[in-house]
Amino acid sequence: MAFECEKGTESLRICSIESSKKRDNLALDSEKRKASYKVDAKGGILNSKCEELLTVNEVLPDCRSITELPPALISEILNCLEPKELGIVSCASTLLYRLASEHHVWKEFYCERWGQPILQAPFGAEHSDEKSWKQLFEEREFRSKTFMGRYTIDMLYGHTEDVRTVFVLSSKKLVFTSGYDQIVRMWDLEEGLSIASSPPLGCTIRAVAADSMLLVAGGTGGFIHCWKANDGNPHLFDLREPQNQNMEPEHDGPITCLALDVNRMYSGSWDMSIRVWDRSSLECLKVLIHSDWVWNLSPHDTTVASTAGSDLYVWDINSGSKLVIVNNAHAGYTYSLARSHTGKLLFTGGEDGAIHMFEIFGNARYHVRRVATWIPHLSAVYSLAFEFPWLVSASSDGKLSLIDVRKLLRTHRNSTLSNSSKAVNLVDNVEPPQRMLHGFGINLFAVDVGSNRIVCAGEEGVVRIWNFSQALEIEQRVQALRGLRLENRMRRRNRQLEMNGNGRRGDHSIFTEKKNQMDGDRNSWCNRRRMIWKVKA
Amino acid sequence: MASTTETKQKKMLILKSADNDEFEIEESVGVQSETIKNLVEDGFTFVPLPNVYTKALIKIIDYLKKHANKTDSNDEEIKTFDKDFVNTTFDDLFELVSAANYLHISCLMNMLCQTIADRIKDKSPEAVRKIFHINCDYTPEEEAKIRKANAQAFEGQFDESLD
Repeated sequence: MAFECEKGTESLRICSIESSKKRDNLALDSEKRKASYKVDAKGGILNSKCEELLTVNEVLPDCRSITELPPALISEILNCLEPKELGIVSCASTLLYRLASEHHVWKEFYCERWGQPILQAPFGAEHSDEKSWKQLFEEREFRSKTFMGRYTIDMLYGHTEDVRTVFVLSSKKLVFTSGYDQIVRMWDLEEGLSIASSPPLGCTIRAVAADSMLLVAGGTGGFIHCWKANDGNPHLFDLREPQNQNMEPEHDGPITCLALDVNRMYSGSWDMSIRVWDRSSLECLKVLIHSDWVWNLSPHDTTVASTAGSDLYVWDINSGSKLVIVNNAHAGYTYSLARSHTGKLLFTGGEDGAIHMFEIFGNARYHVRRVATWIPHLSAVYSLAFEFPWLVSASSDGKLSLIDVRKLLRTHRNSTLSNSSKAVNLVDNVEPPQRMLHGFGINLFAVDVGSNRIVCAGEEGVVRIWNFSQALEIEQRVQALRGLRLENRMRRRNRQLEMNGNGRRGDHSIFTEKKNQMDGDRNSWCNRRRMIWKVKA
Repeated sequence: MASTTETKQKKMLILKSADNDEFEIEESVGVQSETIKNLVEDGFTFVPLPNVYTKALIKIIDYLKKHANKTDSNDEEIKTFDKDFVNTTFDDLFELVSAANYLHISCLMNMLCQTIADRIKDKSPEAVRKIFHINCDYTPEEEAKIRKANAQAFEGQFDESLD
């Protein structure tokens, strides 16, 4: 019966379409019929899949399985899932596995967390092309465990006074540092060697930023030094040369923070302003006026987040207007700021030793709410660095804290879905940091992370690189050894059990018992232990 | 057939489901669906929908009617309606999502996909299989391998319920 019904509609459809598309000169064979339907249904996202849908739906709907839905539709559903859930769903069947593995969301996940992947040196590049985004993602996710592993420390000597700023350019494996001794130094991140240093720049340098095109340093004098990258130079910048460009001192106070993005440069200063510059023309595009000293800034897309005094700001760059202000984010100054790749998460560190995590939400009108708080330090948090999922903080109590934000993200994502309308500052409980790195009795002023390394520096003028790049390998070796030991132990245990079994079986035979006892002290001791076990049982 | 009730003010459309049930709706309501819109632009007022069954079509027409007169004032009302709308069984959801896909109603599509995704969150692979009515086509070795590859996903607790 049902089949007949189907047929009825089928013919009906043919009629209607035929009348409309006479000019298309449709033949009645089913192939073309479907094609015409595709034309009719133009304009949708899943347009090209209509054909499949047609064939799919010829099946009776009683017990519809997801495999009967067109792949594009399943893809849409998977689109709404997160990496972990995709993993689980892909375990359900081969079809889902295929769909989930090839899904483009992996690219989004990756870029959301870490930005575009850094292509390894020439020969590595071909390999990374072959890898799917999912593989890249999984590798990266796996490697993110390294910061819980073992490390080695490299000490870089060179600065004669306090180091105020550290910048890691992980794509080129370079570290830039500077401070009270007025010299910008460049180091090799992997080898831990000094590469070059600039002549004294005439004032304390409190901020350094770089990308593969430009290196900028800002100091107490209020001007910015720029070095442009030389194509031929393996280390990009020739620090020895007098700087290629020296911008007029536009800031009236010391520059405390600098940042670069594709088109613009940002500088924040104790003159209570942030200036936004055009990178190519070095013209000042915008001045963002704060009500207190600017401590730190972090741009993303068309917004820039900044901390000034004890407040947190988010600005719109194009209009120069304040989007959000969080007053008194910390007791005392809010020294440090870090931002995630999505630009949605903000981390602030303050004079009170606390670290707050804020989330920006809302598209038309921005809102910020506090998601979590940590108090890992006893005194001021001078610097923060974020590389998913790790937040690293450096404090004047001489400690580094490592914080894994993954857990918070999950629970919190759920909560936004269920009760997004709830008020700001939901969370008042304090989270524990995942790991502390001790070992300095002195102020730490700056920290940065890149390619499995943490670079920090402070009052003593020594730059330290905490190298975790071997952590996973070491862990694997340790695991292997532990496995081996366990296996040996099991084997010994089995042998003993066997022997004991023999002993018991030979209970009536005094000879075997004696022989067992003669096997040595160790064995008989084990025997006794076995007896105790038995009693306990 | 289907005497087209073409009054000047309210153009009516007739939708015909796969079960041969006919529904009359206003054009302004119907054009939220891209598929219907395209047909209407070609001058049709009778729209056969051979892929949409009556049960799903009734719900979808409800949805379209509700969303057709969307204003700022009834925002809350629509939200609660949407909540009720998706509060149904998985089978119905799949039925609806496939219908919405066919009709190209993108806002409904997004809502349904998000709902399904939210509801299969934190489920074990076994539960996902039951929900999707699929059989495990892995060999035990393959499955073990894939589970191992996704080990980090299996750390937490699963919700084994099927709704």
